[in-house]
Amino acid sequence: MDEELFDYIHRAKQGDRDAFTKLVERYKDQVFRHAVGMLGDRMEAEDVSQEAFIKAFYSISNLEHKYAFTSWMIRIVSNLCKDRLKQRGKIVYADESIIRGEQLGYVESHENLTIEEAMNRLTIEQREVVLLHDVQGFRYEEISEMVGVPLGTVKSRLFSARLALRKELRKGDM
Amino acid sequence: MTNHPELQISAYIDNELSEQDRQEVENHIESCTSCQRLLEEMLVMQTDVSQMYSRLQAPKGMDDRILQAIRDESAMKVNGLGWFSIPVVALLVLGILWLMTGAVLLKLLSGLMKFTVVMVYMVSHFISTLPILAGLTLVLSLIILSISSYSLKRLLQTTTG
Repeated sequence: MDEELFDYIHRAKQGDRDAFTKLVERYKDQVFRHAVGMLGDRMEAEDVSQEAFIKAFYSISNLEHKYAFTSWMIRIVSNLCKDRLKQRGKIVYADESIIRGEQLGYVESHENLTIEEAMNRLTIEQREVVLLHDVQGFRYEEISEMVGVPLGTVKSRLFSARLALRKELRKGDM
Repeated sequence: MTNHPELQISAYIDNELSEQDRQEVENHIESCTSCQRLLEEMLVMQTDVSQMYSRLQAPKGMDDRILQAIRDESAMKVNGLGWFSIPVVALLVLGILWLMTGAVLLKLLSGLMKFTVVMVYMVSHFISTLPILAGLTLVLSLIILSISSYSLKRLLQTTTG
């Protein structure tokens, strides 16, 4: 099964459009999921997923190793999401996370938040590592390479994200 | 015990600890209920996040729209190349023509140049040696030119009128 995938990647690198079509079919859910997680908006997530695949189509010849396709593809969509959020002015860094809810117009409520709502309240960096680890299944080392931060930062960022998530999800219980 | 290894617990559930660190966390958890609770909550949260997003599927037809967008973009690039290629092809054709007829054209041009030089020399020589005759010729030429254009104008007027 993996051999088949590598064959598609190899052929897509040579400019084979049918092989790239297979890659789109195979990765569309994974890419879309990451975009929804990052952006918190399904319409925009579809838009960015489309943009990511187009970008991948035109730059796949630059992909150094066919085995690195998954992380390469997810990195493309992740960076596009971050660009979108920058445009929106939604980038908020760790120490500003407390006021983030107000910036986005959230109303503090004592009702239980859904996972998605709680995720949307994390900083972009926290959300990114949670999605890369818990949803996409990458290891710390892979995330460190993809995001361009030291392994220790991945570890602490994931930890702070989990604490923040727990805090958001517990709000309704207090 | 006051020093809770919370950061390590997060890495523990991800199976990212060395054997020694793993052992230390396990030893601590055995005797610390708050860390036990944290571990359990983190595990539940991790499962919830994973399940929630794993259920998400790309909207129907998204792949078709992606492939259509790639086709459209490729077509646009080809068209763009088409417009760009027109002057390139024109220059290429001119270049080939020049290569084929270059020798003849060069001969024609150099002949024309020589003829012009001779003509200029003759006219200047004529003016300097016979200035009165040259002046008269010029005046006469101008009179003939004026009469000719006046006649032509009259002729055209009578024809159209």
